[in-house]
Order: sequence, then structure tokens, then C-alpha cells
Amino acid sequence: MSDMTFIDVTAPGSRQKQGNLHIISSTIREIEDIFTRLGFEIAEGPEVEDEWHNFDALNVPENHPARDMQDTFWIKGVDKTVLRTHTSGVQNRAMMEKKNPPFRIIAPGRVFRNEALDATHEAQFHQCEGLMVGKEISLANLKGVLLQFLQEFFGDDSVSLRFRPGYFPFVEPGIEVDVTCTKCHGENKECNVCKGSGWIEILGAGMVHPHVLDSAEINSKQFQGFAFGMGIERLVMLKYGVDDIRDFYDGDIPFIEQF
Amino acid sequence: MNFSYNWLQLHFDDKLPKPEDLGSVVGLHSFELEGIEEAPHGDTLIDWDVLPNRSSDSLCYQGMAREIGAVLDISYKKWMKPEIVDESFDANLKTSDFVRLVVEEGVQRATKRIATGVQVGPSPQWLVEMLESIGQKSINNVVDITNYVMWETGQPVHAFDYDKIAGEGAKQVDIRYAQDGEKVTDLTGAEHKLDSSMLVIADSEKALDIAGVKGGENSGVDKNTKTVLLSACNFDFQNIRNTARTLKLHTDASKRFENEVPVSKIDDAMLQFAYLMRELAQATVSDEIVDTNPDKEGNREVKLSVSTTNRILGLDLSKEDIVSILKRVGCEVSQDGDDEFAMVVPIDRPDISFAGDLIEEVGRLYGYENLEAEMPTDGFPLPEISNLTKATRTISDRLLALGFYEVKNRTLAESGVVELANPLNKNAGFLRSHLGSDLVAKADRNLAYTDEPRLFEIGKIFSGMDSTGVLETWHWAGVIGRRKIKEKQKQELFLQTKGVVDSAVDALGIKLVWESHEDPAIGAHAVVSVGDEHIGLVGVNWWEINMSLMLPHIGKEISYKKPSKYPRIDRDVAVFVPVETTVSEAEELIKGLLPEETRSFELFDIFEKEDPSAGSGRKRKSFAFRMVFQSDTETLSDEWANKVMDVVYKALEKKGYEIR
Ligand SMILES: [Zn+2]
Repeated sequence: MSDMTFIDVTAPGSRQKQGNLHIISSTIREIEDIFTRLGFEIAEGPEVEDEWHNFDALNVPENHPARDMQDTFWIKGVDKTVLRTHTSGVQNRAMMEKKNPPFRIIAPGRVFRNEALDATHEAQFHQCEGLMVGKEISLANLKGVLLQFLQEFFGDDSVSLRFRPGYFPFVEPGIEVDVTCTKCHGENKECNVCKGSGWIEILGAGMVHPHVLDSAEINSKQFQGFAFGMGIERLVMLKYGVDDIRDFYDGDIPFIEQF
Repeated sequence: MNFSYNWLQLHFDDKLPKPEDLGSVVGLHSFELEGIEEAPHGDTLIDWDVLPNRSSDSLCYQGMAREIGAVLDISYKKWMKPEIVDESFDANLKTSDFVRLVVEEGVQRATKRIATGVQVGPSPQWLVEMLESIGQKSINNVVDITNYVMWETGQPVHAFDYDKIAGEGAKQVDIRYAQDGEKVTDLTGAEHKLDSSMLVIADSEKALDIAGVKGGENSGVDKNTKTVLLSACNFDFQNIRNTARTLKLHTDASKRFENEVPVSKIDDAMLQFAYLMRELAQATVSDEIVDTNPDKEGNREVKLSVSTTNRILGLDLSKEDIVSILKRVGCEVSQDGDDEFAMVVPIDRPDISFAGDLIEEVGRLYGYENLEAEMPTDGFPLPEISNLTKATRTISDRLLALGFYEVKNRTLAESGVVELANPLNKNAGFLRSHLGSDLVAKADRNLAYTDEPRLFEIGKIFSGMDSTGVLETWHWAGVIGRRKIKEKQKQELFLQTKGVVDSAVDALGIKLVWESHEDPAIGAHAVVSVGDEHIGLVGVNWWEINMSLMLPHIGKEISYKKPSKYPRIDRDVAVFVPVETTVSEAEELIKGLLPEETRSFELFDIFEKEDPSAGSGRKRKSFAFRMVFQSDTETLSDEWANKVMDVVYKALEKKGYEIR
């Protein structure tokens, strides 16, 4: 028996309209998933942080410009309290909680800088920091882990990275990490992403400063490790060509639904 | 800083690599290459972003030449153009006959030296060209010399016209704090009003100079100057930073002092200054330097071990490798050993203070490009997933499937409980105390794109503070945006909202308790609880729930039961009830009468209608419930089900409900 009823299979199917995650969240999720596979645990900490966790525990000197009113938001009526300027404060909390290395931690979250708003500056943005501490964790391991991460994140095995000297008070040596330009692969002198250099600055990193381990009551003679940090908005802007950081916070569905 | 390629070349006998190559090799081993551009006189400028911890030694040609020598492993000359061949000056001319120096705290070291018979005139062509190549204008030989000495050594120096300093004989020069409101007119003619935190160099009558920042008009060298007081000082870097910021006067000098010029640099600068005054301005320069702090800093020794160096870097270098790299930056072995040894570090490298700093020098000069990428091989505990991560992901995923978009709003708000001491502007002076109002605003904004924007946010809110801290919690909130909500749509819309909230938390194993609540400020809404704890509010088309309070309750308890093999029986019952009756009242009544074979029992229809018996527009409600019966051990009969239903009907009628 054959059923001769005509079905128009080209008419659109009836489907439940789906929403979408904000690109910041889905990017953080992607980063979390890659690092979780590499054995990292996700840690979280307060956005309002005391000065000790935000600066002292991270070896930021007493007179460092970052502590000035011009760069950091301070809370009224509560002594020595700031809106965190990085998620590095979580490192100390997580280490204090875990006590005994080895450990592998990432800390994604919202951070704040007292900066006037423009296309590339927001008073708030998101970071993901990472920390790995053990007996033998070396700078070569930092290179290994970051290479693995970046290749997965950009979905491209040909991605490579390079280390340059950098300076952050909480690491020694301090490293700036560049990744090969994912847009032109170093083949376009006019490239607007890498400005023709073939490299994009993407992460700050280094070997955890012994003072930082000491503040977390970890024996810096026995243990060592690396830390790194990246700006989420910056990653997204590079990956998708978003050109104005303010777009992230407008809440417009035509922005959110694209990713 | 922009460096002249030709100027750098003068510090080397070897030919430097061409500018592009020099720029990138230093970029990889020392300081980021920011750009390369052409300069006057066939020169090239290379812009390197000198790192903050190296700004004390590398914001000058001597320092950068030493750095390049270390990177390329070639020898550099500290002195050039002209090489200083004779370091002795006039022993009969005594600076102390001309000046007495009195300084206050905040001045780490002040030095003065007198030069007589000065002939102010044009600079030689080589000096004019060098300054022009870095964008500096030649003024006269004396001013050009001060400029040149600063670029060469990194130590700002100043030339005072001695005859413009008030007093007789050994004139008193003070470095003191300004009076509040004291005014100084600088060399460019601009007037600055100072305060008592700022240092000035002054004679007995007036301030001559804003110390460490800019020279004053009243004491500057001009074409008639005959006697010059050479000055090189070192100030507390914090003090200069504050002065420059307060006056909004950022100069090449203040930039160097802010970065802690090593105190010892004064010796190099004074020597070059005096030498050039003699060679280029025909001055007689005193051999005597009036110096407030002539004590030399001692050598600094830093211990290092081969094993630690290799363990940190992940390399396998020999002691000879390590020592030879560190010699390139000017370190010398002071104490030898098989594994551990000590090195003396250059006095003007304050950034090197412990083994880690030396290890960094080894790493970057060995070359990070030569470091293999290696995955760590040591063990680690399996990562745990926190309840926060679970809740965030589960709730978000459910909401996406229900058509919701996630937004991220700003933490800084116009009002709140927690206030900033230094807000950017008054619209952003507080930390948000809830998510809802911004979310509703974003829903309204999105009506431009869609008729029913569905939005949610998960984020931190700041709900209280005392002198010891701020209370912050995770909230999740959502809204179903509508242009307008009619009175008669509210019940239906509320049930939609409730359904969204319930199905989102259901996946976390959380059962919310719903109680109705009235608040004139926000209209009819429900208070939701977990256990005995109120955790949030749900309105007609919005909700805001304290997620932190929800987290301890996450987790589904599963007790497996074998599915029944026997058929099921469905029964419906519909009743008219007085309009004020709630679903839960009717539900409770029926629930108590149902047997253990009840698999499910739920409301499937609800509507309001005019009550014909009451008249004058009074309304009544209809509830329709469905129940499913199924036994694990036998096939249930219709008669069995009818009996159950009879009990239910009787109870409903007794309550005064009308069975439909
Ligand atoms: Zn490119």
C-alpha cells in the first residue's frame, strides 16, 4: 500500500526557538573545559577584595602605581578594600585552602580598572588566570601547557607561540606570550590583527615569585610553579574581530545571538 | 623609548645588525619592539618599550648599549664621543667657596660643581645632529650638554647661572619643601603653583627650580652666563611621581626619577658633564664636588645554584654556560662552588636582588625560543567541579533551550548599598545590589529587535557592608520582555515564568516552595524557598534568585525502582471552585485521598468563567486534574479505579466544589 499524501519537505520545520550564551560565558566555558581536561580545577573568589590579597600577597610593592586611586577602585567606608584588579587574588586563597602541592587551578572572573570608557577600555572586563605548582614545574612546562591550550582554543595544530621577557611583580621570570596570527598566519604585511608582525600578544605569564608562594604558606624551597593570565574580551575580539569592547555590555540580542 | 640607531652604534666597535634585525633581536630578549622609523641625518629610531623594572637602568644610551652588548654577546664601550681621557679638573677652584648646600629629607643625594669662564655658544655639529636625530632642538652648548648627559647616562642634570643665585661668597642653596601656593615659572615661561609636598631648589630669596621635574626661568643659562653651577641630584621617586602627577608636568627628567635612577649614576653624569663643559664650553671646572652623600653603595652579591636554575627553566645548562651568560650583563663570580655559587651584580641593576632575577637573565639571554615545550609529568589530584560551576552551567543550558539569551550587565551602578570611594563618574558610583532592574531595561531595549525578548543574567551582587567587609552573593535573574502586560494576561504569564524557573532548577534536583506575597512596590509576586530558606522573588514576568543560597541544596537523590510491567489507568476530574481558591488548596485535598498506586497527579487546565448561580459578574474557576494509576504487582481494574474516584468526588462535593 502506498500513501500518496503530498508532503512539502521544503517548508521550515517547527522548532523551539533557542537562546544563546553570552560570548564571554561561552569563551570562559571553552577555556574551563580545555584546562579541566589538563587537570586544572576551577576556583572562584570575591570581586571585592582586600588590599592584601589583591596586592601584598602578590608581591606588588607598597608604592606600585597600581595602588594609586587613578588605577584602582576603592570601596568607601571599608578599610583597605578594592574592586579586584585581577583574579590573581584567587591564587592565594586557593593555595591556602589546598595547602599541599601539587595543584593546578584556573580562576576565571570579572575584574575592574579605574579607566575611562572607550572602544578598547572598560572599567570592567573578564580574565582567566591559571596556576600550576609542584616540585618540578618549569618554564618549559609553561610552554607545553600553553601551547596545548592555544592549539585547542584556536582549533589549529599549526598555532605556535613565543615567549618574550615581561614584567609582573608576582612572577620571576616574567613572560609575555605571543601566538602566531590566526588571521594572516604571518603572510600579510597589512594585517590589521597582527599589524604585519605575524604575532599577537595574548597572555602574561611566568614562574610564580617565591614571595607569592611564601604568602600562601607554601615552602618555596620545595615547590615551584607557573602562573598565567589572559583577558577574555581581548581573546574574543581577536578571534571574531569585535572592534568595540562596549558591545559586550549593551545586552543587544543581535550581538549575543551571533556567537 | 625611541633610540637613535647611530647613537647606539657609537658605543660599539663592531657593526650592529641593521635596525630591523637589532629591533627584533632585542625585542625577543629584552624589551618589546614597538616600531622603527626614519630620523633626520640618515638615522633610524628604534622604539623599545623598556620594562618597568628596567626603567632605572635602560632609559638611556649607556644602559641600552650595555643591554645590546649582552644580547648580542659583543663588547660595548661605556664612554664615547668624546671618550673621556682625562678625569682630573682644576684643584685650585673650590666649589665650596661658591656654594653651601642644605637639603631636606627626600633628597637622597645632591651634588654641585662650579665652572667658571664659561663661553656660551653654539654646539658642535655632531652634538646638534645627535640631538636632532632624537627630536631634540639644539639651544646652546651648555643646555645641549645637560640634555646629552641625561640621554647618555639616564641621570638628569641641570646648569644654573651662578650669578642669578642670590647671596654673597659661599651662597646658600637649599633643597627644601615649597610653601603652599609658592610659584615657580619654568624655562618655557609656564607658571606652576606648588604645595608643601613638593621639593624645590632655592636660594635665600626664591625657588630656582622644581626639583627633579623642571628648571626655573630665573636661574637658567643665557648667552651672557659666565659662571655655571653644575647640579646632579637624586630624589625620592615617589615624591617626584606625585609632583609630576599633581602638576601634570611630565618631563624627561621626572620620568627618569620616577623610575628610581640608581644613586650611583650621579658619578657618571657629573664626570661627563664636567668633561663636556671643559671641552665644549671652554670652562674651568672645579675638581671639588660638594656632595651631601658621597658614601658609595656596597657591591651586591646574589647566590645562585646550577640545579635551581635548570629546575626553574626546565633546561640542562652547565655552570660554565650559566656563568658566561651572566658575565654578559656585567656579573662576576665572587664565591665559587660546584652547584651553589655567588655573583656580584652591577651596582646600577637594582632589579637583580635574588636568585630568581639571575635565573631570568639566564633564561632570556639563553633565549626562550630555545626552550622546548614540555608537558608536565608529575601527578595531580583529579579536579573537582564546584556546585557554582554545576549550577551556572545547568541553569544556563536549560534557559537557552527555553529561548533565553544571556546578557552581562555592568557591576558599577547608579545606586546601591556599597559605594566607591573614587568613582569614574556619578552614574557609576555604587556596586549593583540586584540584577533585575538593568535586566528589565535591557529587555525594553531589545523590543526593538523582537516582540518577546527573553533574557537572563548570572552575576555577583553586593547587598551589604560593615567596616570589615562587603557581602557579595551570586544571583540569577531573568525576564520575559513584553511591550505591555494586560491585567488578564498576568496569571498566564506568571505561570510561564514559574515554569521556566522550576524547570531550570529541577535539573539541579531542587524543589522550590512557592508562596504568594504582596508588595505595592513590585506588585503581585511569589516568594520562593528551598527548605525553610527564602531564596528569591518571582514576579509576573521576572525573577531574581539568590544562587549562593541555592548551592548547598544541589544534587539529585536517585533511588531506583524497577519500571512496572502492568498497564496504567488514567482518570481526570474537573471542578468549579470559588474564585479565591488556590490550586494548592484543591491539590492538598485530593492528594490525601489517593492510593499508593498513584504514579502521577497534576493540574492540566485552569480557567475563569462567570458564575451563573452568583450573578452580577461574579466569577468562578475551573481546575482540571489528571491522575495516573499503575501497580507493580497486578493489572488494575476499572472497578478499582472507579472506587478511588468515588472517594475523590465525595470529598470534593463535601467541600462545596461542583464536579463538571
Ligand atoms: Zn596577521
